[in-house]
Amino acid sequence: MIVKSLTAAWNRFFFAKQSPTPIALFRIAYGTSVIATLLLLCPDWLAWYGPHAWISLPTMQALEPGRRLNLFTVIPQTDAWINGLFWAFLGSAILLTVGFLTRINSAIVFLCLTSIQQRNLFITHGGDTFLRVAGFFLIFAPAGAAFSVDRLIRIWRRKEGPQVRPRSPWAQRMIQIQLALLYFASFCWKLKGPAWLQGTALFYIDHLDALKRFPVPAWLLHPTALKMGSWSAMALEFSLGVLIWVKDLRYILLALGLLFHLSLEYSLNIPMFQWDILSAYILFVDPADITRAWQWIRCRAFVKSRKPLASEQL
Amino acid sequence: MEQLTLHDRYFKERYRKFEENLQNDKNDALWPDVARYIARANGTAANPAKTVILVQELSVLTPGAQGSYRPEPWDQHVLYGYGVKPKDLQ
Repeated sequence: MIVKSLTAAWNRFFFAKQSPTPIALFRIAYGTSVIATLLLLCPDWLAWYGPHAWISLPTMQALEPGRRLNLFTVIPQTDAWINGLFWAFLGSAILLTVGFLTRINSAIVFLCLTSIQQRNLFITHGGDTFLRVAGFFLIFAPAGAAFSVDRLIRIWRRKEGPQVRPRSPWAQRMIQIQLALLYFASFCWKLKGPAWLQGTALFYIDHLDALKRFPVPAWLLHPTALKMGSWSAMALEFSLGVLIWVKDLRYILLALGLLFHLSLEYSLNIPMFQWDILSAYILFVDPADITRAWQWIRCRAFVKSRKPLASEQL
Repeated sequence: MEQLTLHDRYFKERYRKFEENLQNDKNDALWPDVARYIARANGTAANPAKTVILVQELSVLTPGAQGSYRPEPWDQHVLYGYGVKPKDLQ
């Protein structure tokens, strides 16, 4: 009986069909993050990945032996080829964002993302790794089923009606699980650090001049506030890793997580990390709420743009 | 990093990450490549780089009373020395 209900719950969680709007919105946020990452790297494409890069390809292969998904090992090592690969990568990321040939482009983006990380593992942060793992599952998701050029083409060819067809969300669930694991692993790592347990971790982070961005109010640097901040960060990471699956707590935790990441984006110079992670928050929003929000936006936009009717003027 | 503008720091953050990883002894296999890159970037045909020395600078953060911060004096030690060969500059 228990096995039967567990199997039913498993099937419901991974395979009960639902609207693909969350994964479609995630595709747009994900693609935008990849584009921004590439543009930030653009001045240094050759310095990090070129034939005369900071780390040579043979050194990287010696450090990471075995078979790897790495396009740099199969293309000629010249500036033109490396630049060509990056422009193709950027083009594919743009097409993925707009949802044109979505599945093909999500596979290309994943392959290129994996390649640049395999080519130089020593400049990546957690956000890059999250993009890579999420990118793998995005290949199998119905990411082009809504808000995409692909869908417009299908409607134009009369292969699809105005209603978005529900789809199996298993790939979306895998990305959600990946995000929850990221927070939980981060919480577990912090448990191993005495500075986090003593509540002094934020003191050290605040005094790393190379990481600082905008000034933080002085009262936040008081030892008590720093202790509360350190412990709150741990509590929030645990909650976002575990309690996020409790439906009643979900939106509160997402709002707290949003505040947390925006405060980090303000105070610390870690480009794109916060946005990479926040992009996946949309996957935790109920498709019905997305529809409601979209209708609300459309209604307001319509009311604002529409001229009042004669009967309304009376 | 501290001397860059906010805009440049956003673009160049990967260098801070790279330098952070370089200082880890576990990554000493990277040091010869880095030395060769520096030699190529800083030498000319007329005046080629002969030696590259990677120096690590560090200052310990010591918390004081009421959240104050007492910077310890900067310490430095040689991480790695490399004799540049002519073929490294090609």
